[in-house]
Amino acid sequence: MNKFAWISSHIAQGPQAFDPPYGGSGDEELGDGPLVIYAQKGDMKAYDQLVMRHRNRVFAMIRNMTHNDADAWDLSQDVFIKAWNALGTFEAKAKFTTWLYRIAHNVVYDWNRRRKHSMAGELNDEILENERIDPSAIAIPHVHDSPDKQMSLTELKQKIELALEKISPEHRQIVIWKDVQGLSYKEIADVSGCTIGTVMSRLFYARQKLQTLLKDEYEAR
Amino acid sequence: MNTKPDDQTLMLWMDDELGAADQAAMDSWLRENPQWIENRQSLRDWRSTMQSVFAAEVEPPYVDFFHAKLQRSLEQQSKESTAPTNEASVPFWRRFAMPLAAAASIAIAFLAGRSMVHVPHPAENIVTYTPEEGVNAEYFVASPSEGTVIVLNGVADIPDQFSIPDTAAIDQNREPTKESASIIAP
Repeated sequence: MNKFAWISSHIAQGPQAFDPPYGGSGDEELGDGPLVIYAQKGDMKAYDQLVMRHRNRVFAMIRNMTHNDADAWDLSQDVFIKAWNALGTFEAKAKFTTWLYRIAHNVVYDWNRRRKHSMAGELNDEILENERIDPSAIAIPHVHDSPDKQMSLTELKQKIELALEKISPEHRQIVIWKDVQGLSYKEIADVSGCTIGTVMSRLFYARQKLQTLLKDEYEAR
Repeated sequence: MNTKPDDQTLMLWMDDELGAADQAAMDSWLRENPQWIENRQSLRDWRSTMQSVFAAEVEPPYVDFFHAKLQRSLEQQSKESTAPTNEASVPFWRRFAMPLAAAASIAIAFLAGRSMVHVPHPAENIVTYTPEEGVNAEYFVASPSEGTVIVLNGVADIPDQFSIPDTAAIDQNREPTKESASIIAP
């Protein structure tokens, strides 16, 4: 289409044709890519759409790591502020969600590092005796084999949270990405900046440690 | 395929990520090792448990405020980043004159302000947010106590058994009305 045809077709459609097609009735909803392009040009309304689209997942992801609504709320704000500031560096060849989750991962990582000083006494899973873990065991935590099958969801959540607290943040994060958020190995590798092999190895040991911790928990009951 | 697949292939299969091309070879190995099908089922059960106890999507509390605060932070940032900071455009003589003028201003302001300085009250910069629909917040500086009063119009009746914590004071001179409640912060 030559310039004249383009201008005349847009003038013929009226000024509303120049408005970005988002926030409308829904059937013309844009993918992340075009919204990112608008946002990169400084369109805050487009960015607000992106925030609206991804805030719940980002918030849940962070809350599952921090176990605290207030911290997760503040950290989610940080994620979207950092994402806005770094939007110019985002390249369309990457997936926006992968890029956003990577920022969330870095924000949580920094937050964990800052509060590490006040966490003396927390069990470090690196100290967890290796002989307590059966290396030939299949790394699948068994919560369904518990003797108490009537355990409430809340109680179950507490047990798993307790076990998750006892593994390192890196291992915990991978378990949450994989087993809660349902990210693929490739996505986790992109978000964490590790190779797929490293992700698999970490997930294997994280599940194995959880299996040991949850087994101890049930045997103690 | 009678030999055990490599760890990576096995983990992809266990997590339901193995591609269709590799699946056929995996199937022939599984016929001789059916216990792995049970292992995969256990892993699926584990994932299902994790997804039932930990939500993958949760709306942040006070979601409107979440957006409003984010927008305000971004606007504030953009204002700061667009503030004129180009030092090269400042004339040479002004680089010396400005610090002198600033020092003189401080001295004058100190002398003059000792008797008649206006310290902006915190209430002048308050931004109020009321998550409940139909509730409006107004604030003003109460004199002579210099306290900040926030009036919430449209709040439901406060039950009689509700006790105000010791840190807040009730304005005894103000007749409580049905539509409004006030808290005075010292």
